[in-house]
Amino acid sequence: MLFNSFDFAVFLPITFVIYWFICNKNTKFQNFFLIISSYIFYGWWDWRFLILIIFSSFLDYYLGIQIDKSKNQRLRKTFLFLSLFFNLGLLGIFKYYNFFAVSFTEAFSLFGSEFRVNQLKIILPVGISFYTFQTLSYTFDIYKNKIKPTKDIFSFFAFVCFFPQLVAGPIERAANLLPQFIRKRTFNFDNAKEGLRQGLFGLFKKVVIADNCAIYANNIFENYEIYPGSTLILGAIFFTFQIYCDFSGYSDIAIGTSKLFGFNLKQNFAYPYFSRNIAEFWRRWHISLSTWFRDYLYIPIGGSKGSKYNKIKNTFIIFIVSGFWHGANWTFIFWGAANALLFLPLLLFNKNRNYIEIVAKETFLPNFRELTKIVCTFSITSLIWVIFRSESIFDTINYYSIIFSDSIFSYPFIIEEETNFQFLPKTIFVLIFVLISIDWLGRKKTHPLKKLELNFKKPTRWLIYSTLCFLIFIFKADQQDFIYFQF
Amino acid sequence: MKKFLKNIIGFILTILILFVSILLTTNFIVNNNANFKLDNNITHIIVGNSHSECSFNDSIITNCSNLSLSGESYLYTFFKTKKIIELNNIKNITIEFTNIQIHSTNNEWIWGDEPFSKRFPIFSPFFDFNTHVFLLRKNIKQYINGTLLTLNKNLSKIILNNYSYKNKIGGFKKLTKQFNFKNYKEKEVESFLKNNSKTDISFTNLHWLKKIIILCENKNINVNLVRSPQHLKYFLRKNESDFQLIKKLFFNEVEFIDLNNFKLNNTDFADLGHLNFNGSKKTSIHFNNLK
Repeated sequence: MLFNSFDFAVFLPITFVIYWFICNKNTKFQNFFLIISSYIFYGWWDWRFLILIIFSSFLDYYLGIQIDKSKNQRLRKTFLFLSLFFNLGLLGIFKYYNFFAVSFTEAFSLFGSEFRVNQLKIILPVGISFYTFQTLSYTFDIYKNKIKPTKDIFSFFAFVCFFPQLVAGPIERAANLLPQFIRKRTFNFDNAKEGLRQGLFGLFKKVVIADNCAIYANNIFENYEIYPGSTLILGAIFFTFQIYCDFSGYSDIAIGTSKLFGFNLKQNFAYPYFSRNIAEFWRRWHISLSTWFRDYLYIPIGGSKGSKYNKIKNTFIIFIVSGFWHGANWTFIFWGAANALLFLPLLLFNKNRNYIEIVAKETFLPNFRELTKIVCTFSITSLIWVIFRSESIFDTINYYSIIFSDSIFSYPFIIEEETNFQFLPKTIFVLIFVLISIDWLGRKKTHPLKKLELNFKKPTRWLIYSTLCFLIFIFKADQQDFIYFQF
Repeated sequence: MKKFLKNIIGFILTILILFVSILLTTNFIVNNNANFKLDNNITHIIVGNSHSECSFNDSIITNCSNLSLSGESYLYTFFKTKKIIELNNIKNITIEFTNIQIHSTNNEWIWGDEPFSKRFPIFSPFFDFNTHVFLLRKNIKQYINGTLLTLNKNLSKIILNNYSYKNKIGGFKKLTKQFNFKNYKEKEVESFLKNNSKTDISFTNLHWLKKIIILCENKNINVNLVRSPQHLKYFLRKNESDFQLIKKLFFNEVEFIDLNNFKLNNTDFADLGHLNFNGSKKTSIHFNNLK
């Protein structure tokens, strides 16, 4: 079920009403209802993949208890290894097997061998990378004695399959989310109101900006050979906003929906395009994944400690693995490596933690130096997204070679496809400007519409909400899947 | 919780009222300004689906405009015809009436997903209340989607001050390809027919055809039905007995021009149901001579 679908618009109020009016007497009952609702939400795509979630939930529930119970360190390690083996095994089979099969076959053919590795006829279960990482963090944390395992099976199952964040995150840690399932929840008016606001803004980003940018980004990336470099730059910019609004929009709706049910998820995006260098960008982009890799991969392998060689090696490992997490394609690996290359100088010169606070925290506008840095970081990020969006490395190279040719100075054009909105090409830039403005004004808060009542009276607030709703109605492009679903 | 629900319901109601008001206002403006004007010499129009769209080359037929459109069911044809009649001096209307148009696939062309995203946003400003209710009941999900697209289209028209429907309401379609009879798979056709009972009839589509005929008769416009050529192997010819029965029962009083067995070569077909440019040329000359 997609957040921007009619099905979800029906599903959400029904679930909300039953959750608060029928199941509210008993937390266990509420959790059980959330499990059922989440399975319906997920099974809407393909109910067969529910078997994987149920298996993963049972496995980590059991292994979590066993790790905690075992006094013997070797036994604890064995249970942790089993959790890793099965979770990453599932991910490996469903997500990466065919990639390795093709890569091996191609590698052998380079040396004239006709060795073939058969591919599997399977499709990637939606959100497998997200819930696998969530359950893995649970067993890791128990192993490190950071948390105690839960014996409440309903709470644990609900933690794994909680529908707002099941298919595209944020990837929650058990230490934050699991206790929220165990304790009694009471309806909080202010929290629910904030949730609706955040959800509405997320929907605006997805439906109005991301889906409309997608029309042009797809057009340009799919036909890049016919366009001049100047148009390809536009394509990169469209994709830069598409992926941001698509994914952060999803996170906003997920966080907002969770608030309606009395849960608080962690912030996943913190205005990444206002970053002043790539290190800051990575602290603000897909925070739940970056911190996951930091805590469970980067720090265990040594982090930024030790020799320069270690620093370089660890940086490349974390960025390449993070890239590979996004998909089984060489483009994602190269995208990760490109980010590592950009990050490395900052790490080596100890400038990676220069900008912890949001830009222009005490002023309304950034100074010239800050603005230049923001524009430079944004431009570099947009160019790097080209690797991410391309179908293959071959396409990436071609795309770059057209950008950096004489055609970059020609006037950009786009061959129009028939869209439902006749003046979209001009308005899309206005809409992007509106988004940047809203984000800029709200950059000191976890989401731009937070605590709106402090600045605006009710009629103005309602006018803002109505305008957003109206923009969603009229700019509704053809419904597109969320990009991060494929990961 | 009470306060929350009160606020939510209040907000949704406000938005709904606002949305409906804007939609109705824009529908009204579009309806009043819609420009369906054809060239002054046009006194004869042909309406229908892809069969007639590919069969009648209106540059060959005197004072005629072919306004057929692929996948158009009679419901949408009715509202299109109504607007054209209002704004033009039409004396003759030829309506495509082929075997496929009695078939239940037409229901999909009325309330399936595609017409809601392609036809509905164009024609819904001209619908009456009952038609809205009918379509809403048939496919509420797509109806809502179609309504949002309608508002989008309406606003585009109003802002750009462009109410012309030229190029959006159909026209002759020139197909240059030839059907490759080597690829014809009898077994696939048989299996299709097994799964799609030939007695499956779209009475909704027929109801709207009747409405078009009544509309034209009330305006003293001469109406005739035409069946454009179909290849002998065209699988939908297999509902011929039903077709004849329906024609006799419901449309016996309307002149019927049957070009089904009009002599054409295999090379005149783009596929079994549609003519290519050669076929349309022969058919159009013949049709023009019949006038």
